[in-house]
Order: sequence, then structure tokens, then C-alpha cells
Amino acid sequence: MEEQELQALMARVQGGDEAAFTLIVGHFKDRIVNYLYQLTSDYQKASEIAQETFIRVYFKADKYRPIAPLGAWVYTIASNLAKTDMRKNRRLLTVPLEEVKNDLAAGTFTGSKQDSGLNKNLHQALEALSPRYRIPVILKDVEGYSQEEIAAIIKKPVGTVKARISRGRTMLKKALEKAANGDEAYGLSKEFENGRA
Amino acid sequence: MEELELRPALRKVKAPPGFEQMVLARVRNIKSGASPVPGTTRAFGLKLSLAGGLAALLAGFILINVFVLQKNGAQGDSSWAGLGQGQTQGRVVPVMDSVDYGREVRNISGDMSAVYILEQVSDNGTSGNIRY
Repeated sequence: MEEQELQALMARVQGGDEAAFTLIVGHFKDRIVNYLYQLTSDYQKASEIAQETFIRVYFKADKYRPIAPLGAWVYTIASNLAKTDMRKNRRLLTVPLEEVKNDLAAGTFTGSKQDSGLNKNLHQALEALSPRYRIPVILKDVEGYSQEEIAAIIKKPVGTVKARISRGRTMLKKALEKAANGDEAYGLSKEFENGRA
Repeated sequence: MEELELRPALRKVKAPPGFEQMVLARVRNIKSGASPVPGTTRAFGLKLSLAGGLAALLAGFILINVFVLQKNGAQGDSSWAGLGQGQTQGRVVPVMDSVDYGREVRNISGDMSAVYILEQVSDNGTSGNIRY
């Protein structure tokens, strides 16, 4: 669907049109659920936050200004809700040391895309990353947004976005390399939480 | 900036079936008033706490005015009254009153029983005593 069509649909949603809203939900649902899943590593939670995101799209439709693409606005809402949720459940995101060790033994980063352990390791490394780095890295490397678009989504200057992506990638790479070497990821997660890696 | 090959490595997921219907059902539920509009509860709470804070501030201001400042005012009045009774409370009340002595003297100059009291005002003094 073209941006102009989406804008027209949004204008109808602003008038309370449920059919137009359903079309918008249908257009973004998979991308938003996937994005939230990469952020939270929990499909159920991702689905719930995605629902919440679209409910806000409907009820806050009058706040939308067509100066930016509709997708960026939807991603902004989803990111903010995910960030709030992550803040609420910060304690729950801590992975027990024993579990990490078992997971590391199950599969490590070898560069092979087929490696089943890689997905797990990546998710663990992403989870260990602070949301300030996780969100721009996922938006760039998973969702494929440009730095300018990410800046519009997270409402930060492009320079900040660039720095966070670079730093986040470095941290992620280090985590995966250490996981490949069989190092304990627990210490890593502590380093990442503080953003010192 | 070094690219990371995250997209192919991460498992991609899709929205659960009937996602649109679930969202729409919740939207209708909110519209019917069965549940609050998301985000408004927090905003309402913030507004309420802000209003409460301002009300507390206003109440504090009024209490200070009524009990502390008024008390100080009453003390000021009593010290003022005390001056008339010869009481000294270490409080100086400057009184500035301009008097036209020329007119004062002229007004009573026609009265034969007027008595003029002359006092020495110069610090240097005079050689002799002043006689009245």
C-alpha cells in the first residue's frame, strides 16, 4: 500500500471509520508484531503490545500529523509501549546463569544462518542490551529503516541514532563472540545493562 | 558502520490469526465505555496529582498568611500601642512629619500670652547662658 493511500485511510480513521482502521491494522500487524517480538523475545507479549499499539492508533488518530510516514508514527507508539513494558519488567528480563550456560552449550555463533542456537543467542544478546541500543539496532538491522527514519521514530537526532546503532552493534558482536568462545554471558549482561561494553 | 546480519538470523513471526478482529473488538469495547481509553488513566492521574499539589501549595500559603503573618502583624500593632504607654520594646518606629515652623510661629504671634522657649541648637554653643 502506498503512503498516500495510508494517509487517506488515516484521514478516514480520524473521522472514526472502523473499516479504514481495519485496513491499517492489516497492513502493519505482521511488521509490528515481529518488531515487538524481536524487542521483547516474547510472542504473547508482542501480540498484546501490538494490540495496544493499534488501539492507540485509533484513539489518538487526531494527534497524527501527515508530516511523517504513518509507519514511523505506528512504530513510535509501539516502541514507547515496549519501552514502558521493558522498564516495568526489568527484573523479569534477567536470565538465570544456569539457563544461560545451557543455552550457550546448545549452540553458539558460528556464522551459519541455519544454526538453531544462533537465534537463541542473538535473542539473549539483544535482551541483555539496554532498550536505548536495542531499539535502534532492531529498527536498522531487522526492520531495515534508515537512520533518518529511526531518528523520526525514536525522536532523537540522527547523530545520536548513529552512535547508538554503532555502539549497540559493537556490544552485540562482542556478546556473540564471547558466547562463541563459551564465556559466561551473565557478566556480559551486567556490562550491557550499564552500557559499558 | 559495520552491518550486522540480524534479519536472516532472527526468527520472523507474524500476527496471530484474527488479530484485526481482536483489536476491533477491544476498540468497540472501549467506545461503548466498558473500559477506559488507554493512556487516559495515566494522564488523568497526572492531572489529578498536579491539581492536588497546587491545592496543597495554595492551602499552605493561606495558612502561613493567616497564622504566621497575621500574628506578626498583631505584634506590630501592640508595639505601636505600647509606645503611647511609655513601653519600649526595642522597636523603632520612624515618624516623619513636616512642620512649617514659620507658619506655626506666625499663627500664634498675635496672642499676647504666647511664650517662646528658645533652645540652643548649635553644637558649638554660646559663651553665656541663655536666659528665658
